[in-house]
Amino acid sequence: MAQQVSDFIVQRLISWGVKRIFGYPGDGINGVMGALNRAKDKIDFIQTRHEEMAAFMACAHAKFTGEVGVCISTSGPGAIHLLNGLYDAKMDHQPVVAIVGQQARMSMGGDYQQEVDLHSLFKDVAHEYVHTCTSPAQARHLIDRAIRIARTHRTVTCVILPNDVQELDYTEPPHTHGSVHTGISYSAPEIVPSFTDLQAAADILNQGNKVAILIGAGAAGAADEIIEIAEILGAGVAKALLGKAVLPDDLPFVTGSIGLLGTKPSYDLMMECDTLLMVGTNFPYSEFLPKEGKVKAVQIDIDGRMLGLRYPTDINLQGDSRKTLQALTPLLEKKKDRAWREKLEDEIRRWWKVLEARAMKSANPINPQRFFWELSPLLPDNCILSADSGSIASWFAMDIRMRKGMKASLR
Amino acid sequence: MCPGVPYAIAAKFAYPDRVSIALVGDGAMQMMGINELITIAKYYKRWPDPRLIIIVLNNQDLNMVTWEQRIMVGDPKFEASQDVPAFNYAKYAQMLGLEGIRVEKEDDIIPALQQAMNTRVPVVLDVLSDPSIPPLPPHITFKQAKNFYSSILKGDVNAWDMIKETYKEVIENYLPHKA
Repeated sequence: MAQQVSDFIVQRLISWGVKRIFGYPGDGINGVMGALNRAKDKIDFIQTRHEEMAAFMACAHAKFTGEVGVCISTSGPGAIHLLNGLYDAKMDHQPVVAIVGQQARMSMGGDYQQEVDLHSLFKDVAHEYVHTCTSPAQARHLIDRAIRIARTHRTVTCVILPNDVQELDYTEPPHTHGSVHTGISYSAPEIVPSFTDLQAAADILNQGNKVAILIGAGAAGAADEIIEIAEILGAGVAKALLGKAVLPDDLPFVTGSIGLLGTKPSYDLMMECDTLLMVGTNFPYSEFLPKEGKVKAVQIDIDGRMLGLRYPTDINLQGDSRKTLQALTPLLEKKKDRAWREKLEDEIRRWWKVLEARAMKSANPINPQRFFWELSPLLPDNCILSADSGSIASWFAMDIRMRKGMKASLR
Repeated sequence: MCPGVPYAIAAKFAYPDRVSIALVGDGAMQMMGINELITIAKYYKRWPDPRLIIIVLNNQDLNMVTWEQRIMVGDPKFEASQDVPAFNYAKYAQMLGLEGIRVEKEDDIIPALQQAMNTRVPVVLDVLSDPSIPPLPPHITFKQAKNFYSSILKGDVNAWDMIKETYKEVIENYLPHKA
C-alpha cells in the first residue's frame, strides 16, 4: 500500500527528532491521527482537554528542553483554540510548530461547515511561516521549512492540512521545473560579535564604577560566565522573571527579580548604577531601568531585532550569550574599588530579612508569602517550577530562592 | 493566564524523573486548570517518578487585578468582576484519584508540603490564602499611594484588612533588619 501524505508527515516529524505531539482530535485532522496511531511506537500523541493547553504544552516543551514543540488540532474551532498558547510561544521566542486540519480542498470558499480562513487567522502569530498543503509533493518542504524556520527564528510556524490531502498517496517532488527539494537536520550556530565591538563594549564596562547586570531567559547556559564577569566588574545581577532560574539566588550579588514584582535591591541597582550590561533579556518595563541617558549601556542578544529596544544601548552585541561573554571576559579589568559591590551585598542580605519578616506576619487564614517562604527550602534540587499569572507570580518572583539545577518558567 | 498546569505537565513528560511543580491562582484553576487535572490523572502512571504538585493559592479573588484596580486606577475592588466562586480543589483532585490536601492554617504548611513531596501520586495543595496581603512594588510612587487611599475612601469591601496588612508590609521595609 502506498504511503499516505499523513504517514509521510508523521515520519518526517520523527526524522526531525520529534518524539511527542500535544493535541486534540477532530474530523479535520483524522488523517494525521490515523498516521500517529500507526507510528505510535515512535511518536507519542498526548491528548489534552483543550487545544489551548496543547499549545501551552508545546511551548513549555520548547522552553524546558530547547527542542521544537509540536501541537496539533482540527479545523475551525480547534484551530482557534490553539491561538493563546501559540502567542505565548511567539512572544517568548520559542520554536513551536502547529499542525492544523482544514476542510477538503473542494469545499474551500464555499462557506462550508467550520470553514475558517486559517491563513488569515494564523497570519499574525505564525507570520514567519504559514502555508497550506494542497498537493502531496508539497508536504515535504512544508514540514521541513516549518521546523527549520521555527528553530532558526525561535518562533511559531503553522502547516494547514486539508482533510482530503491528508489521505492522498504521498509522492516525492518530481525532478522537474517548479519542484522543491528540501532536507532535514539543524544545529544552532554559536555566534560571536566582532572583536572591535567586543572591545568597545569592554571599554564601557571598564570605565564604569557602578556596574549593573540584567539577565533574562536568553542568558540560560551562561551562568558561569555571568558569575565570573560580575566578580571582575564588582557588579550586582538582577533577573527578569523569565530568567529567574538562570542564576541561583544564594549568590551574594544577585538582587533577584526586577520590575513591579521585583525586589528593592534590584530597583536600587538600576537607579544607582552608572553602567548597565543586559544579557538575553527583553524586560519591557522602562520605569525600572535607569533613566535614558543616565548610564552607559551594553546589550547582548542572539536576535538582532531585540537590540537597543528597551534602552538606547551604546554598544549592541548580536551573539550567543555564553560565547559572547566568554569572548568579552579577557578584555575586562578587575575593579579594585569594591565599595559598590559591598553596598549591594549588604542591601541584598537586608532584603532577605525584610522578606522573612513580611512572610512571618500573621494573616487570615494564611499569609501567601509565608507559604512561599516555607516552600522555597523544601523544593527538590532539580525540580521544575511553572508559575501562572496573578499575585502568585509576585510571591514566586520574590520569595522563591532558586538553586543551581532548578528550571523555572511562566508566562 | 493558565500556563501553570500545562507547563507542569509538559515538564513532566520531558523529564519524568524530576519533580514538577505548578504555582497557580484560583482564577487560572477555574479557567482551565481543573480540566487539565484530568489529563494528569490520565497519564501520571507512565512517569517513573509521579510527583507533580499543583499549588493553588485559593483566596477567592482575582487578586493581582484587584490590587491593580486599587493602585493603578484608584478604584475600590469591583466585586462583580473580582470575586472567584468557592471551589474545593483538594476534593476535586481526590475525586480524580489524585491526592488533595487542603492547607487551612499556617501550622499546616510544612507538614502539607512534606506530605506532597513524599506522595507517589500527583498532589493538589489547596492553600487558603489571605487576599488582603498586598503584592507591593519595590518602589511606591506618589500616584500609587494616592490611588490606594482613594480606593479606600470609595469604600473598598476589604478596606480595614487592607489598611492593616499594607501598614505592616510597608513598616517592614523601614525596620532596621540586621543582615
